[in-house]
Amino acid sequence: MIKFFVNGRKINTDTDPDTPLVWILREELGLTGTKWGCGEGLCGSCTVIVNGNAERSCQLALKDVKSARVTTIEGIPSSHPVKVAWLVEGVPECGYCQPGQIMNAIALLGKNPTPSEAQINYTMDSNLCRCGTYNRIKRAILRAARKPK
Amino acid sequence: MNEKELQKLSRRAFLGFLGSTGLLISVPGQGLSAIMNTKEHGSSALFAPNAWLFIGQDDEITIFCSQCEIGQGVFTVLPAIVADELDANWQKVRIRQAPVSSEYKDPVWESQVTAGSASVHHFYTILRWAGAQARQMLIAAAASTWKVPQRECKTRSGRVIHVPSGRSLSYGSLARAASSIKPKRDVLLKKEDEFTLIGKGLPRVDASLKINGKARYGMDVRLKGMLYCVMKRPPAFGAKPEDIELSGVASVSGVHSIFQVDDKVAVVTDSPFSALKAAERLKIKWKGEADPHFDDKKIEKILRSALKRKGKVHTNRGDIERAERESALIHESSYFLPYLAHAAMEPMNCTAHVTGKKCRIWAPSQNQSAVLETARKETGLGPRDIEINTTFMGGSFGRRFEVDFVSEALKVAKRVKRPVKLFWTRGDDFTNDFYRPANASFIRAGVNRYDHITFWQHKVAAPSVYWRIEPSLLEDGIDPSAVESIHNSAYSFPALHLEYVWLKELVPPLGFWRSVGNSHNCFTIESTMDELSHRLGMDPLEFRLRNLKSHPRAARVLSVAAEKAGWHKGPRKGQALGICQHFLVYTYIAVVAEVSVDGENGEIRVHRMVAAVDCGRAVNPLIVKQQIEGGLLFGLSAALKEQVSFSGGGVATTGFLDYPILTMSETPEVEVYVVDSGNEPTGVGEVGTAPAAPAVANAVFRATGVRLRCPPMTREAVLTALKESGSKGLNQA
Repeated sequence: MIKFFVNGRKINTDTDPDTPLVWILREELGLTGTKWGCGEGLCGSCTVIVNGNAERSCQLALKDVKSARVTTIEGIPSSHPVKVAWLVEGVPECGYCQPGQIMNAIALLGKNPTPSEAQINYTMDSNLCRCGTYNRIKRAILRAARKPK
Repeated sequence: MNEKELQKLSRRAFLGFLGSTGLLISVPGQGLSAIMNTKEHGSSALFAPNAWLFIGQDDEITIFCSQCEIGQGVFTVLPAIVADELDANWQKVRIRQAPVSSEYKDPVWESQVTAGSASVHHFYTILRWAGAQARQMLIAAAASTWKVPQRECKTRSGRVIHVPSGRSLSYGSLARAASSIKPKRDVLLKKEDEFTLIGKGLPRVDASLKINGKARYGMDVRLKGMLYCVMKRPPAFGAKPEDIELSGVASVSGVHSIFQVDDKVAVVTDSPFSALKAAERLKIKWKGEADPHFDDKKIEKILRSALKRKGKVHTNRGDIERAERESALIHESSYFLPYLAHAAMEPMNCTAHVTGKKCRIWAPSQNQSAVLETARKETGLGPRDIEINTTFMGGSFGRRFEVDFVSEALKVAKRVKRPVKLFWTRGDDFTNDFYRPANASFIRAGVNRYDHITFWQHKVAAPSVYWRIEPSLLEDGIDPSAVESIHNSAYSFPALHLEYVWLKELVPPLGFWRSVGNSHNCFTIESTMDELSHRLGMDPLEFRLRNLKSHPRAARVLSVAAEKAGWHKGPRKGQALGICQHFLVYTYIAVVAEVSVDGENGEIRVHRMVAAVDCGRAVNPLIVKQQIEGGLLFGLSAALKEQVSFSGGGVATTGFLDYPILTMSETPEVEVYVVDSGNEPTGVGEVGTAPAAPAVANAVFRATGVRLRCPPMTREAVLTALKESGSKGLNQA
């Protein structure tokens, strides 16, 4: 039995501890906002926050998150400055990568509330978007960074 | 897809664009059956004048969107057209994906499909009509309630107002009365200056759902008792399973069944993780590959020799020999373009449940008619017993026009008799794509002493996209997509010789890739235009303008892009500007790219891209800008980085490591200027993609004096070209 927390809720599960976190979230908990895009840790669509760090949930097994605090896109209120900035900048097109982008951005701002453009590029570079929304994502992060938390 | 193909795909004439200034129009055959077929909202639908909307007593207006939301914004753009003519309160509008039904077929293509950048272009008039018809009936209902003449009534924001008395009634309260008014086919459309939503740039209705993780994509479908399926797919074209070794799978829990489906092996389990794990451990011996020696080298050899072959003549206009004699300059160049993948972020998937009497499908598909046809074929059921649910789509770029994944899901669902979600791995996605074809092109063109093009000889050698998709569109062995935008270029080619060499020996399966043939032909034409201007010692903008006399809209976008990009002021230090224009899906676009080239490592940095676009009336300028921006970056990604590799008779590219796409740090600033010409609204989805590569290649030439004719323009390609030319990557041109 593995215990951990998802969006503040205590989870107890006896699922195979090798199961990637992304499937626990999506299948067991019904939190389908976290997307499966490549299963290889290369696209970033499955990014969630684990104990304050942005992590690829397809690369973390259930046993890796024992007692951890996991936050998914569903655990971020829609009034959160990053989500509001995403709305104001009109970021999403197809939207599939956006939960992962948003979670990576929130983790970044959690560590560095006023990142430079270069720091944003560095952190966000591994989150792929095929629709080409990168400039809007960057503007949204800069906008959210200006807002008091 | 070009117009000729569209027309040919059509079995009945488009209703016609009827202008936009208060015309009386008539649209036949809009019935109610589609509404009646969708049961969820029967009770509140008090007033359903046509297939496109219904109004409930609670004032809520539901508008159906026939087109699928792939990211291009149709859920916002199309319903706003209905709502504007209806004078609805946009805040009270609900948008629903239309079911699969004949009412929602594209009027040009007679098929329920979202493709070819056609949604606004093809549906604009019908949707205006639908809103206007409903509005007229609501006015009639109000006038009859008040016993006043209809001409004394007007509408605003979901209410009918009796002007002389100031009385008003909401649409919801009129819904019951309006439903007994006889619908009229002839309705009065608004004048353009009466628009309240069209042209205003409404924010996207799907943004909040997507930002909050609530948008439901195909991958997110969850059904009770659902199984999951991953397939093992042949590693080479033509291969089939010979021997399936199950022993490795024994230790995987949750395996339901493993069986062969055509040339694949289906692994069905009770969870996605089990399916992936079991598929990985399943060992299959394959046999019968079509050509084990098919690889990149072979492709290159075929392409290199292709231009010496004689093809079929598509166009032979004017007297080339005479034009040659009148030419002060004749220039030749050859170009080679690679296979490309779609690489949508959401892997292909489909959920299906097939029982003896009923078939239910949840598909992220842009081709509803093909899904229905596939379901009929696979199940033998009639359309009434087939339910198709279209989900949000995590990108497509043409890939989800295909229904291979739907067919697979149905075959598996029939066998397991339970709901099953079939999904592809990222590797499946790259190795089983319908690729953008490779292409070799040769252009020979002449210019006279007035800097006018005298003749244009263009040979395109490529495998055929349409041969598999719609062979009836091949005319005398010529693939229309391979030659699109050459014979109908915005440039004046007084003499044109256009030839197509069908490379049948190139076996990889092909499909529509955002902008289709334009992705090749815009690159080759616009590179050649640049080469010609350089040989003439002429400004590339000026040379283009001189040859665009019969297309003033093309000249205008070119001038706007040049002005906004500071073409005449010149680039910033160490950078260079490249320019191009293109006409596709009835839309004009011009792009200026600002680049620098690192002579040491060969890296091209694209600093800025400035685009001007004339898509007629921009129904939603915000979404037009977003689509052009996204299209440019999609094209830029391909131009700089993308190429599918082949080896051992199959696809060697298996993931994002082999097929890197554009990232944030490589993304230039993008500025898009919408030049509203007031013409009929035309396409935008594919428009930005085609001109990205030539704009960059032309800028690289001005930065280095090196002409890159074979994308992708990787560091290695740039270094090799610099080495061959002796350029150091600084501004030498």
